[in-house]
Amino acid sequence: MVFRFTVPFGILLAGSAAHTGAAQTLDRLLTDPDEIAAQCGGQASAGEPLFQENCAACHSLTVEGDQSKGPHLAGLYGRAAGGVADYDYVSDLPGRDVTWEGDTLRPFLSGETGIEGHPVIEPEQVRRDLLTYVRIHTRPAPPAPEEVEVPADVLAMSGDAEYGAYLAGDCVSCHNAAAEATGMETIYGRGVETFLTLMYQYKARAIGTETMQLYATSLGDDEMAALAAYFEGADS
Amino acid sequence: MKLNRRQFVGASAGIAASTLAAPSLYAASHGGKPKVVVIGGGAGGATTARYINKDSDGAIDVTLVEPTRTYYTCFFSNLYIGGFRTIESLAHSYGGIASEGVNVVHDYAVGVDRDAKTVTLASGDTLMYDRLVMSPGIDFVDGAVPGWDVTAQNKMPHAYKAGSQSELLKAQIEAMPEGGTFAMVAPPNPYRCPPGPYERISMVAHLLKETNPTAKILIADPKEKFSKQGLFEEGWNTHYSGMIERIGPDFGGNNVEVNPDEMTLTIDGTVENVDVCNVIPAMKAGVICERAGLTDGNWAPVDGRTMVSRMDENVHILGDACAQGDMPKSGFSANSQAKVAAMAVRGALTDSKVFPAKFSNTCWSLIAPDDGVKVGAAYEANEEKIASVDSFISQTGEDAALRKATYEESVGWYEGITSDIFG
Repeated sequence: MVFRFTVPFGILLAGSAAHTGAAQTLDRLLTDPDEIAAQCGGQASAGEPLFQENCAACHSLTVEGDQSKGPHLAGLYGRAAGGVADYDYVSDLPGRDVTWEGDTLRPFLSGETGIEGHPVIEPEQVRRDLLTYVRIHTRPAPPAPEEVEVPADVLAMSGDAEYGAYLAGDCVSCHNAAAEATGMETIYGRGVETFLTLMYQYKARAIGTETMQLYATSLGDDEMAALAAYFEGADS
Repeated sequence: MKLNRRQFVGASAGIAASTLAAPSLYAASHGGKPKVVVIGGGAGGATTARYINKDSDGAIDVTLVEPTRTYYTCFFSNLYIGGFRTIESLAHSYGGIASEGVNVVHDYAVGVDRDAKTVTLASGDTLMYDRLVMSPGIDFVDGAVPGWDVTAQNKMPHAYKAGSQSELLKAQIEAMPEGGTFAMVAPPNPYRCPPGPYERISMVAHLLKETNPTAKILIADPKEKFSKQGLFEEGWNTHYSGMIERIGPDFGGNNVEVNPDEMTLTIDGTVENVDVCNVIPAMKAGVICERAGLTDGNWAPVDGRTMVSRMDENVHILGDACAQGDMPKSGFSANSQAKVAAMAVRGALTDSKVFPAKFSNTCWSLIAPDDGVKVGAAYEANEEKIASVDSFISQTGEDAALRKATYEESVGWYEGITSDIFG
């Protein structure tokens, strides 16, 4: 099968420019899931089944995935079209003067441009949900833990320990003394600054498992401060 | 200044208003502390009983009604079938909860009089409540699989309530003739533990690969798609190539009949002789919900902000039995919902604060030794339902170290959550 790849005109940046240090400030290189969702205007949870149904058979979200049917999508936003070095593109797709971002992906998924036979995703809100999910799960590599800093105003917040006691219910399901022998850390008695730093590192995906990264991402600063206040004062 | 809940709600930006009525006087009705009865001692009920008791510091009288003295967790029971856990490691007693001060009654709840606010037990005793919490888990829909009913469960086990059924199913697999056939009738949505049947297939395949490598596995499935499908199918190809055949609805997987005496499974008119037949029928809320008049269809609808029944403001229903929105029916979900229910019950019966509900869930599945995968999400509640706000799922093609770490995380989770549930 020969893919026909059509793009009416080249857009903005050549692919290589998107990978330079100067491009780090581009909003297409956002790493915070909330900011990504806000910018894409979609819901990642709604996009996940769409991805599984329409995309996952051919595209992996990670560089390690199977590429026998289609290129992986890791680092998609800001990547040059045809830019996966080890994928054997069958058409003239490589080298096209397009950088993948919302404005180039949207016409691609709506069928305005793109590859013959590639699924068309309609309507716009569904495309937004799908792109939100894909973008969050293909976003750039996380920062090193030491680069993650808790904002001073968050450190200075006075957390509501009673609210924290309620929120802690979801933490202590796993993080309790009985689970310690398995390597699950207990968090009672942990200092506020240490706690908040860890939460920010999880949220930035600098450390931890997806379970913790998702949990930290679901917390606002007031909720983190409440949990920190509770765990600092609680001993079991 | 001591704030009561109304002032607190009004004064705090970002905290959703409570829908609960103001506390009423209990001393007048019972001559004592407010009473909570919890039906069901699994992940939902036991956690709720523990948390209400612990967090109310003795201000609420909590009674937990659970027929079994030893509870076997359904979660991780597939790992027992695969040989990764002992049955004893899934067993939990109620001694811890009782020693914390919960009144544990080992009996069946057979009826609820919602006007009199009483629960009737099989022994004939009645328990009064100010708030009732129901977390009875699942029962099976009668006639869901033609030819099967619960009287056939020794010939064709469901093993979807753990314990002796799990042991029976494992023993049957171990007794299969060389090159024999293990069949599963998979359930339609929604059901307890969405990845459960497919984790079970993985564990059965692992066991057979070790002991009976020419055996076959046949799945009749009424669903077009299932949870973590890409991950399971990748794993089955990698670890159990050629062993597993799944017949979906396109090929009649939704049109099955079993004959437990003949040990046959008929799929779309084709009769298969099988050696083990694991029938997992369609499910519904534990039957006490229906008897209490709190179901709509097969499940008990609730307001996810408090887990309170849509049909009775004095009854909270949680775990597998309730219809709440986006959360899967899982032990993790039930444990998370229990904390919201406990907070809401305490708020209604004492002056404790009520905060906006948040929930978490992760479902881990083991595909082969050290090959673990997971799917998880964070949830919030609105007036309509519990809604997923973000999620993740393991990816195909992940390296072995990550899969091993995922499995190890699940082992830690099991130790943690069972301690959180049972004390």
